[in-house]
Amino acid sequence: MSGPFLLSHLVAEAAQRDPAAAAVRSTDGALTYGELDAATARLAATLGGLGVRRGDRVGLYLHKSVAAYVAVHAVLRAGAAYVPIDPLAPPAALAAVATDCGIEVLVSDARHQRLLAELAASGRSPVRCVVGAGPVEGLRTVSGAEVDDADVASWRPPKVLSDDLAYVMVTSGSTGRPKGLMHTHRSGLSYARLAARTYGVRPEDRLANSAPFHFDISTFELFAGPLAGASTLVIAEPYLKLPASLSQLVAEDRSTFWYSVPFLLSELALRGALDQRDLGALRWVLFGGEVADPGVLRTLMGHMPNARFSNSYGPAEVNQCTYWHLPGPPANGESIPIGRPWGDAEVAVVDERRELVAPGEVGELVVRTSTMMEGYWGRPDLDAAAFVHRSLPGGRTSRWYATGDLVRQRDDGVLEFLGRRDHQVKVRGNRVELESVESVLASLDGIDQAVAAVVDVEGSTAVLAGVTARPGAALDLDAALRAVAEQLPPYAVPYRLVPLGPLPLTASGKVDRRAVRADLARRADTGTPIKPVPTEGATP
Amino acid sequence: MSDLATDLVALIVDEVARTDEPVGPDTDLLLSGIVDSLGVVRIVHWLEERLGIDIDAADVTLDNFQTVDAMVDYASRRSTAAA
Repeated sequence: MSGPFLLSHLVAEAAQRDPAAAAVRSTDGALTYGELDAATARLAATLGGLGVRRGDRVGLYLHKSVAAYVAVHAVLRAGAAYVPIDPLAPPAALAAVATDCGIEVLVSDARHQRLLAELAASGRSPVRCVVGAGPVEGLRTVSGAEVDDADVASWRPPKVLSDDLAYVMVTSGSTGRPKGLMHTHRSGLSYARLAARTYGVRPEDRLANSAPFHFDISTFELFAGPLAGASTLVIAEPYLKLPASLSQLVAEDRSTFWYSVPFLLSELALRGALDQRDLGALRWVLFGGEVADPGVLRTLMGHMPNARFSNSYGPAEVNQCTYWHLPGPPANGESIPIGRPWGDAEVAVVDERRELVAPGEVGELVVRTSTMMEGYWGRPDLDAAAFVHRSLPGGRTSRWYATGDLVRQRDDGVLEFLGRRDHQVKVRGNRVELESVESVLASLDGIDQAVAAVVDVEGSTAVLAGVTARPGAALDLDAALRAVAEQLPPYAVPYRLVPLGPLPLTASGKVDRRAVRADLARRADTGTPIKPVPTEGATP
Repeated sequence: MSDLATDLVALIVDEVARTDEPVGPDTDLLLSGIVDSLGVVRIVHWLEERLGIDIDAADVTLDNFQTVDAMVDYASRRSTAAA
């Protein structure tokens, strides 16, 4: 067998091999590969009929479901690139992404009707058509029933090449302007092959998909799953907020793979009622996106006796590039290495001048790999900063991605992650640029200066921000929070604003952000309610 | 609405909600994004204090916490069991 060269081949080829094999299941149903292939073709033909062409960007704005899984593969099959949008994104954020990426067609669901109507009424987006949401005033709409009746027989799929655009993962940049990572069929498929090989994914495997589709690790279940002929459980959002229900779902599903950000592992260890769950079917627990807590991993290892645990590392710009299979339960305080590069990736550790550091010295990790993105959508300025050109043995020059992550390479070649070069932080696995939170806050009426920090709350992480009032202005903290929520994704919105007096200054006269952030971390008040809530005595 | 339901709606709207969506006793709090995982923990703490009970992690499930009505049902089952 020659194997696929496009992501859009994955489902069709899995269906040819074994049409009756389970493909995907969620709260809205279950499909075999034969059924998934047919549903994908119907939606792809529908999109083609709406004028979607090779290279177009189609937005996905729907909750996690079998329908969402179908939509990803249908957009690829239609020759377009899918742009997954946070299903909780407010209309203004959706409009910003749609405008930036030039999205005219969205696939959505009925739960988004009201938000879509607001989007249409705002007149601020290029979206002209929505599939799957039911009627929305101001937009052309195509119902699910119409998709079911699509004329697949007379639809001709467009020609697509492996370096055509396949998906754009959008993060919010430091100015709040969307930053789209362009991945091709080649980079996505290369990731799927390396992941399937590294973890030995088999047709009988059952992959538990926890990541939202706008988070890059979801490509493990979306691409490596069908490549291997494995099936995927798409976990609906409500389960991800209730660890006891989540653990029950995964136990009952007999899932064999788990892949998530460490935040969800902490939630499971802390509140997952694991002593009452049988998670013996799990054979791999993969985690990545931020640093994992050794205590949490030890707890989970006790409840998942047959699972191997592996730390995966790689900014979304390169999908993944290194891995570290844990040899056993980690000790308290032990930092988990990010490991060694996998097959088709190589790494170098460089200094500020982009020269190799001496062995064992700290430097920035740069990566060369087939899973690397093409570049940032419409942002040659960002490309120039992100890519480094280095010469290879034999005199060729190649493009490497500069991760911005500081690492040290041990004598045995294993990489240790030490932090960031910039102020980018992670909140529950999501990238947050604190400057972007601060600049949005400081742009609001009445606010003079803002400092944001990531703090620990209730065993989880969240953004906390302190603000100072403009002279003579009164602070309306609730109004400020609402305004921020309209511009930033939910995980970047501070859970609370703290009014601050005059800010401490550094010797050079700048705001001492480090001192303010340390102060905010002390104010996070773990374990106690965040705002005063009525106590039993106060409420009749 | 019972007193408990009224107070829970007020707690969620005033203290916990991440969006401006209207909240009623049968609103799905979790799918809509009104309540995030941190919000669930805060509601559990509030209920423990209000009712003077300990809520086991295994009880914090979709069946018991997806809506205010479900929380009120859960609370009444717990107080019946204690009586």
